[in-house]
Amino acid sequence: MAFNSLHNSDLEIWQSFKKGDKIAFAKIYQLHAKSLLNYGVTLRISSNLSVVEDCIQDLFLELWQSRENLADTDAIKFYLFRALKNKLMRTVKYDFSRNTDEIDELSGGDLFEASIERILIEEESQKERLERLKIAFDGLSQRQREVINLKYYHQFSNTQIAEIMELNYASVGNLIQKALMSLRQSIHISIHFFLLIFSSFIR
Amino acid sequence: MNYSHYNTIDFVKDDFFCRWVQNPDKHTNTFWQDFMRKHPEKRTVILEAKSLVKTLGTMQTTPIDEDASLERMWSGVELEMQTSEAPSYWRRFQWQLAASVLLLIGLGYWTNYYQREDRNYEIPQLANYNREVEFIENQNTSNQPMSIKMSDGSEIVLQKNTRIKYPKVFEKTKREVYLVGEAFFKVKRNPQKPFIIYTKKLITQVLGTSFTIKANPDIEEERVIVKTGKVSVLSQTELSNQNSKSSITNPNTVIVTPNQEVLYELSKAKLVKKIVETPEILTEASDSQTFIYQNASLASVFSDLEKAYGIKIIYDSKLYEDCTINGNLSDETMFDKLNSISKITGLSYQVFDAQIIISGQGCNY
Repeated sequence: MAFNSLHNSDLEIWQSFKKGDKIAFAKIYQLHAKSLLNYGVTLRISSNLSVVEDCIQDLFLELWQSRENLADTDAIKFYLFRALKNKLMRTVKYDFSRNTDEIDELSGGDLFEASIERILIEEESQKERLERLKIAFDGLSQRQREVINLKYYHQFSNTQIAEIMELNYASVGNLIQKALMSLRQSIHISIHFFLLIFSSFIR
Repeated sequence: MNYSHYNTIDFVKDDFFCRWVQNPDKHTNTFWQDFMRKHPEKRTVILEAKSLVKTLGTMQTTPIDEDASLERMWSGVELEMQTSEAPSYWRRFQWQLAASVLLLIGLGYWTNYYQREDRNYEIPQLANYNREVEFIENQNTSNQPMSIKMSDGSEIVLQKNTRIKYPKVFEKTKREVYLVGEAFFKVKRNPQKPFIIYTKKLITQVLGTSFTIKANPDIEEERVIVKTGKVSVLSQTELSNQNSKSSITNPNTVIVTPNQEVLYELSKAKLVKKIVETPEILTEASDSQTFIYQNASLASVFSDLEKAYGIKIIYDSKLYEDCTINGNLSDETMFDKLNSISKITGLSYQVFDAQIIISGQGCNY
């Protein structure tokens, strides 16, 4: 990015944006829109990508329109995730409240590809194993998938996850535990084996 | 924090541990290296937990064309930034650039009725209709379509014998218009001020970014047809029954997406969602899709159809695992394609609530 050195902290970027600095606003978009999109898609609230796109676009439109009235933040990514989650929940409420089964029925494999497939791998057997993990991840409940995605891909703390998902702190830990257990169960191997499989590519 | 009794999963859940794996710094490095020195028995567990955190860090889903999505979203945001800054520039280009809404609502029943009856009819009203507000009324008595520009930049084309009423200045939170007859809407996008059209029986709200709605006026019923984009429709009776203030949160709201239409059936007094008679391939899906197949799996053909027409196909993927399709379906309509697939595979299909449901025993080869 051309303007990398202009801003140092989240708070500085945010305050410039609030004053109407378009470059700061564009930077916020460039830094975070991709993460927001991946989070929205991983939630798999709708098979229609445009639902997520619309919500993110609206989120940034509203940020720009109400920039003068926004509170300060030194954790922009967290701020945006929380706002997007609220927006998605509101949207989905009227979109799918009549057929809630649609939420987990979506196969996901048709419209989206998991990034795990992009990473790696020449070795076929390893690819197969990763594929199995991906399938296991897809088979998690929506909330389990969400917590794993927020914690390990987006690297939020348990406290932040609690706020984004509107859970208490202890429930976040329990949910992670459950997700890990079902991942292990659904790929039918012990956690040690599971680790052995992946330790090579993690290096 | 006492980590000496932690097992693998305890570590994996721990914020301070994850911070070390995900974004190591001097502080975390010192701590965990020191910890492993003091607790050599935990080394294996820690290394396992470390691999697990990294592996789980790949668990996400990416849209197939991520860059296109990012560009699409930004173009809308950028446009909004330009409008707030340079109104003259905006006004000149808004129709080429704007994510706009094209909407045509057919109300054949009303039009016909009032041609016979005289044109002294009432504009539909809401329960919370505000008499203090100053309204503008337009009526097209000519034989030519009549175009109206509204204060928010939206454009409405009124057909013959159509009447429309709307506030001179829209409310802060919504843009409401009242319509009798048939009209074509091009709505300027503004997520903070939803555009709502009230007709005698329906409430139609514009939801998405860029779309067209086409109508095929029926004699008896009110009807909204979507070509691209998204609108929500609610019947007026539902709204008054539920005493709900907002149409959009009402559970009986029907969301209409491309190639779907919603029909208000007078006899049943309810909204029915259908697939349009001749679904068209959605513009964003059109270039890449050939519909020419050689030993293609049934699942991939269905997936192509779903993407091309935006219509959901429900089937048992296990049961039809071995079905393959050969042939050229490119020149056919969606229903022709489905008929061809039925002939090839011996499966049958049904349309139910704007979805296609596949049934049958498997393939008859």
